[in-house]
Amino acid sequence: MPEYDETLTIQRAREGDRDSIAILYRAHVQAIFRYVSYRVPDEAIAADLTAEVFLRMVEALPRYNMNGAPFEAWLYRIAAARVADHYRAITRYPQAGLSEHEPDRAASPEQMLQAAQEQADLRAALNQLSEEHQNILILRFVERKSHGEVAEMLGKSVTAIKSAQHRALTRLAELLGRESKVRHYLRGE
Amino acid sequence: MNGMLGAEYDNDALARRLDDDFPPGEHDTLFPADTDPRLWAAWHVARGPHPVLDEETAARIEARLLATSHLLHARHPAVNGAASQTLETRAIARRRSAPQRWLSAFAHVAAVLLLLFVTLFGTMTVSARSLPGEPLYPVKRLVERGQLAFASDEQSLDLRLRFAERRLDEFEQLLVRGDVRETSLDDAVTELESAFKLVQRGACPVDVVADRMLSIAARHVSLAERANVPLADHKARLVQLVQSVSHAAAQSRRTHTNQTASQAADGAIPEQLQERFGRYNLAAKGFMYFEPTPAE
Repeated sequence: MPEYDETLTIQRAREGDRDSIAILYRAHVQAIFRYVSYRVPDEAIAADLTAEVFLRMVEALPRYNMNGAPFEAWLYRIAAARVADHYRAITRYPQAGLSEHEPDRAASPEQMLQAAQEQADLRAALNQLSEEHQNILILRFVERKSHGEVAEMLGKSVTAIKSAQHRALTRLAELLGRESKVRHYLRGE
Repeated sequence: MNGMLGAEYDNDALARRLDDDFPPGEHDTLFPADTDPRLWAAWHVARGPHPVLDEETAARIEARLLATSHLLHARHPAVNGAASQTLETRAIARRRSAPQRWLSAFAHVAAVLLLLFVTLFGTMTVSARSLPGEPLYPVKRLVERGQLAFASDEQSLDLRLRFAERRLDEFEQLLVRGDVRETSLDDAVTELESAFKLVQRGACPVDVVADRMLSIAARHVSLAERANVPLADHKARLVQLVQSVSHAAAQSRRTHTNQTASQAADGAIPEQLQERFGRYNLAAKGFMYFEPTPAE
């Protein structure tokens, strides 16, 4: 939960108050960046899309309807739309390359390489899921939202989210297992 | 791994197990004790590493965001009615935005006017070379009407004669292409008639323009003959016009001759005037075709 009066801050931000806009940005930028980073294969692209999300937020705030739904749900919807725009623009899903994430600097080179490879596998597997399944898994396990919060953000019932989560994890396990087998085979294991 | 995907958990059971292993709101991630592949897949997602936007990039985006916000609200002052704004900041916003609005409006009007001017000028330039039957020809005639509307009688007389010559030029150009447009001949006569009316109204002494008018009439006849156009329609009008011009010129000659006779004693130049009026001899102009009534 935000440590500020979100309703008042949103109201002021709608009227152009710079401090309020900055508060909303700082409160949500990392979560939006994480979400976008899991949806696209490059951190530079993720940073650009994150900037676009908040620019769109500023433009659309005067029309934002405070109807009781979480503000971050609105931001996630904007982010999902920007990601979809990105993929439409490049016309095809890009091949997943090595992760751009910086692995733990204290780890050994082998550990860093393995972590990077596993992260790339995960991202490639996630990208093969439907957009809804990706959103559920990222919100539930990266952002650690409850099933109820995820349901509210995506405009679904909790039952539907649990069912979709079950299918998404089943499919992801299959994809990760296949990726893992291929990697082990290539290593001669 | 595919074969390991059992059905140990239904949707609710799996959700409860996930809540135990990956509690909402917490970020600690332990490897699940259960070997169910769904829990293992969830652990893969949850363990990270979770990307973090570096401070420099975050600050750069924030600066861009605030600059955009400033621009948006400067452009739409109505949105600036923020409760947090002081009267002073609102007054500053108004002072800045009013000239900007005027400048923007002026720029828009100037751009539209420039576009109109360029379009109009271009159309007029192109239409000046158009011929009857072409899309821009009506524009050419409209421009001519416009010129007449703002001209004095003397200027109108000159314009009417130029337009008559222009109609004959157009007729000739089309004739070369094998296209005979009698309306151009008709329009040329109309222009000559209008010119003569202006002469009668005193726009100009007839002797100044008679030569030019009769030359145009002669060219009219010549072109009509080249095109084998029956002159039945134009003939009566053209004959009457030539007779009228000739008659007026002769009257003017008589007046000038009388004056000249009296002026000759004063050392005037009757030979030059005589030569000048002599040019109105219709037979010499080839107008015997019309058998004009001698004016004298």
